[in-house]
Amino acid sequence: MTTPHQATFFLELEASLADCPAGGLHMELRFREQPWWDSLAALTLLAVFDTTFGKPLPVEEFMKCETLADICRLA
Amino acid sequence: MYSVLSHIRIAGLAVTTGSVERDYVQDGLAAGIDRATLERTGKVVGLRKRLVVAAGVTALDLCADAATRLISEMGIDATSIDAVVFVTQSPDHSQPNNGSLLHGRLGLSKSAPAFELSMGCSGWVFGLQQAALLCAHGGAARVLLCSGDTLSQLTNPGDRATDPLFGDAGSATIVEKTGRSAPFHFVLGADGAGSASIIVPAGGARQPASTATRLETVDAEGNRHHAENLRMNGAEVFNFTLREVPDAVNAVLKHAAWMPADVDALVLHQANRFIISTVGRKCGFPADKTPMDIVEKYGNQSSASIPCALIDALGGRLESGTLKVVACGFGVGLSWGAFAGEVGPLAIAPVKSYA
Repeated sequence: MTTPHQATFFLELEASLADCPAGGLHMELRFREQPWWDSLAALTLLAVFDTTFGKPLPVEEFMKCETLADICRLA
Repeated sequence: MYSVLSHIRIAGLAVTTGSVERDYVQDGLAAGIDRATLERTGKVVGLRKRLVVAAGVTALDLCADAATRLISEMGIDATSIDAVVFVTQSPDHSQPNNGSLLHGRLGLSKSAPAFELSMGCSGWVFGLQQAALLCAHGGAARVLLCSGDTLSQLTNPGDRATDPLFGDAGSATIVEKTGRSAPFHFVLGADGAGSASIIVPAGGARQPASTATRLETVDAEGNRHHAENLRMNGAEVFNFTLREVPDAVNAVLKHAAWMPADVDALVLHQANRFIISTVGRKCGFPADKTPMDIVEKYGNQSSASIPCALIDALGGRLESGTLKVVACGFGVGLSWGAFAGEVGPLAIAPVKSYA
């Protein structure tokens, strides 16, 4: 079940990430394995998380995340 | 920490940059990165051109050039300067400090003290607060603030995460005591627990420079560096910026009793376009009030980036009129400093590369 905040997070992230295919983001996506994932995508994800959920994503926890569901659990 | 200081003005600004032009795409192609990736990253992050120093040129040289040009532009006598505040993390020597060396070069009065603040990207605001304090309560009528670094000499060319970001520059700012009553507001802060996020591990007393500290290693992303190089954890620094800068900007706005709509410009440390646009938006400022193209012209100039943005983006308006300016520097320490005050009219010696 995706919450409204999580849906907004996915939409904003998709709009902000270069080369991310439309509708390409979902909870179980292993984002680090995607061709569009790089250091700039990581900063973009941190920015969108902060904007959407109103708090920073702790970097140490973020480094352990494998899927977008892992990220959303830190919101 | 909040402080308010009155009867002060910024009387002049100058910036001197490095003279060697580096091109982000060309350097990346030479390092084996594909053009499409370089162009995409360059556009979003704001990396295009940067100016670095030639071998043998230091932050002291750049600041001395800026100060000399500014003194000439203002038509003042160097002996009228009552104190020197020098801000740098790339001094000529561990002893004596750059402030003393600049004092000697400019031939300043023996009654003018000269000292140094070891601050990086937040340093111009810290230095401005010190210079304002000397004018407001320290017996000075005119203070020379110089801030700048040559960080290109500390990064490893094989570290593609750090090296392409930095340009070299030195700035000069003249701060004067005045009858004007518009106060300068400052909010300064630090988070020493995050100090490892931006660090040059070796070369100081803790780990002296040696053959061993110059042995290169390659990290998981393929970036090369050794212990005497500047290292930066980009994600940690970005999160720190998102966490602290909007709060500092909001606090200084509150002290000044200004809303973002009242402010003519939010001048953030010119780290890169991505950070400035993200943080500026979070601070509630529209993009047209937030200069952000300094990095693509000059690179991240550490403590010289705010004066460079003031000249480059607002120079004409500052020479002829008064602007309500909010500035915020942030970086190594970790540390941050926010300023709110009316700036201008003032003298400007244009941004110029070192010759």
